[in-house]
Amino acid sequence: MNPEDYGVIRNKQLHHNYTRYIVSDNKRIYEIDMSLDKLTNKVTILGLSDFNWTDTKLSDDSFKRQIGKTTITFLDSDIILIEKQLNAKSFRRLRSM
Amino acid sequence: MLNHSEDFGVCSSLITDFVTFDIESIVINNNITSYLIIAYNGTNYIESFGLNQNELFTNFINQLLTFFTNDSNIITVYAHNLSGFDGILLLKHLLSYGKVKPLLFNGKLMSIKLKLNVEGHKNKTIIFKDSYQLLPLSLRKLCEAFNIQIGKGYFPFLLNDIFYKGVLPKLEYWTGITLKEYELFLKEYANITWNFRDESIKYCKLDCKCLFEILVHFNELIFKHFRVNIDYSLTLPALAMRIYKSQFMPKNTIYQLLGNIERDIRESYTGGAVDVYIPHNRITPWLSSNININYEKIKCYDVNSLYPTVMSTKSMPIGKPIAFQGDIRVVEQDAFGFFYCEITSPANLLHPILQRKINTVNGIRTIAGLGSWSAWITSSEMDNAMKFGYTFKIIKGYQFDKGDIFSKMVNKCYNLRLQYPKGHPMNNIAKLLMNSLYGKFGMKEEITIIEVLNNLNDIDKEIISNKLELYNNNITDIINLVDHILLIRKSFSYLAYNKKEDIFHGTEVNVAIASAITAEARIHMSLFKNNPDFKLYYSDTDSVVINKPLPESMVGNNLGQLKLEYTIKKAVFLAPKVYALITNEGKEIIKVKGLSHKVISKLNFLDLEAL
Repeated sequence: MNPEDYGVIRNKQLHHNYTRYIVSDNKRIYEIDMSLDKLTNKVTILGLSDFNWTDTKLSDDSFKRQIGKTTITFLDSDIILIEKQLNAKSFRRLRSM
Repeated sequence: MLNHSEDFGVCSSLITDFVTFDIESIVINNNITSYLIIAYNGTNYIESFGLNQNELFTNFINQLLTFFTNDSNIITVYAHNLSGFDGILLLKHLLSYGKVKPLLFNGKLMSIKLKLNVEGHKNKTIIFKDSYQLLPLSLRKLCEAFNIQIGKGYFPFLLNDIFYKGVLPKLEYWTGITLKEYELFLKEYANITWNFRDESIKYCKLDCKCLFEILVHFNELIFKHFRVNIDYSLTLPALAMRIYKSQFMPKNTIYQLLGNIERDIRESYTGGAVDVYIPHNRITPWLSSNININYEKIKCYDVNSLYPTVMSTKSMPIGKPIAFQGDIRVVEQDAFGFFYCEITSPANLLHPILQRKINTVNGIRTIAGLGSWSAWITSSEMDNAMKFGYTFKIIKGYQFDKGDIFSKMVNKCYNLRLQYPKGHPMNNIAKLLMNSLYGKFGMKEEITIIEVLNNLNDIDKEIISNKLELYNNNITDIINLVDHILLIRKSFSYLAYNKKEDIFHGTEVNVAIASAITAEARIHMSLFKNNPDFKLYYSDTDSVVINKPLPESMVGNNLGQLKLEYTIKKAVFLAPKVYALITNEGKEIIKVKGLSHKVISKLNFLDLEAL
């Protein structure tokens, strides 16, 4: 949940309800929007505009990462749960005949 | 929040234009030979009589065409037990009239659709349906239930001579008739010649009229209370589902479950627990020389409408499922759904409460035992089992939202049962509708397809040969019908892909709901297991046999309460659904699964006790 975990902080901007960090490592540049309560990080890999995820802190040693329809829960850096929302078609209500 | 206020789908008018028909047959040289067909449209009869099968059926179908009116291009024709002999006998004679589409389900012929291709009736349709699938009682019982005054008649079915004329046939040729009723016939025909042809026509006409009146009455009752016509449904569960979907189903709550999720959750779908715990109630030792043999007084209680009870009071799995890997309960303590678990039972438990499926040489068997195993289970049943000392390690599963989706329909049907006295057809219909609905959710995706193939020349034979090769293992039966062949094969139901929404869709099935209902029913029944307040002798899906009376608060007529069925003097329970009882009133009750009523009627308590 700490932006520094992703690399070196290159920029920091305060917004209305989040703080935006630009962080880079040897390969990628990350845009991290951290909520003011520091419980949620919305992370985007710049250059791959459609690749982003949201991390939500659950406790001091656990957080969940939401990528598209998949949610991964980490405990002490280990994956303990992977969840995927399945798509399905609803039953059809019968109308007037 | 569920939306119950969605506008209801209802029929604007009652459909009454249908036809009933019946076929009478005799056995000649071990072959079933039809000799009479009658149909009735509420006003007129048509009849066809004779032993020449081609002439008999052709004459009948030709006359049936006269029932088409200028207003309609479809005739619906009901036979009680079409799926028995009538449909099979009829099928091959329809082939020369147009395109025939039989519909088979669970090995039963449910309907035959005939799209006509004969001069003057091109593209008109006749649909033959089985009324027994809507009203699963004998015609005689239905006449009583619906209070049909004309009443079903009697006929000497064991008489084989259709040209017989003379004195009233002897009692031995009649079935299901009492001596008193036969004697009334004797008086009636004392000075009259009994004529097989006239009497069979009279009897068959009466059957057709009775069935017609019953269906009219049934349709009126269903329409009055649910604004649905029976004509749109082939079976009672289908009718229950139609009523549910048109009037009670909240919008966007129930989703189709197909493919892997369906197969996984189906593993958790088992029925009621039927088990013997104490095989008899004799107190006096078997080898004792004591002449006075003592038995413990025991009581048999039934739960009132067990499945409707849990449907209306327990949360059901709704919404789009979430598939997961890992122990979801570590993250969400109240996670609800279906879990694949490593299960360990307590080392000792008098009445094990979890069932598991075991593969045997005779197919899959369900048993409730102790030990360790892995299986799919509903979260509710898992939580309940933990109270009895079972432990679980969740490996993977499917999570659902919880919701109340049945209480309105169950309460409506239950109130109808209170509104109409016992014996009134609506009372029975409401009960059947309540109990029929859940199974429809658990239907398999697999369907049976019947292909009617020409078998006239070498090209036809080549096509048949190719089909046999193509479908190979999926073919369940091949029936030769003169110039045609019926190829019966298993197939998965229609599955389509919606690219925009990225989903597969097809049959409206949701085994999660069916499995949750049966699981909640087992949980309900687990109240009576391992209970120190009484000794449990035997349990069935919705009944228990125990040695003490239940508290008054548990007994009554409300949904979920129990009803004392019998106080039992003597009992012997040999296996699930194999038992003999003698009640306090001296009535002997014998049940042996797999044996017909006729065979069971020859057994007595001592026969089973001796085993």
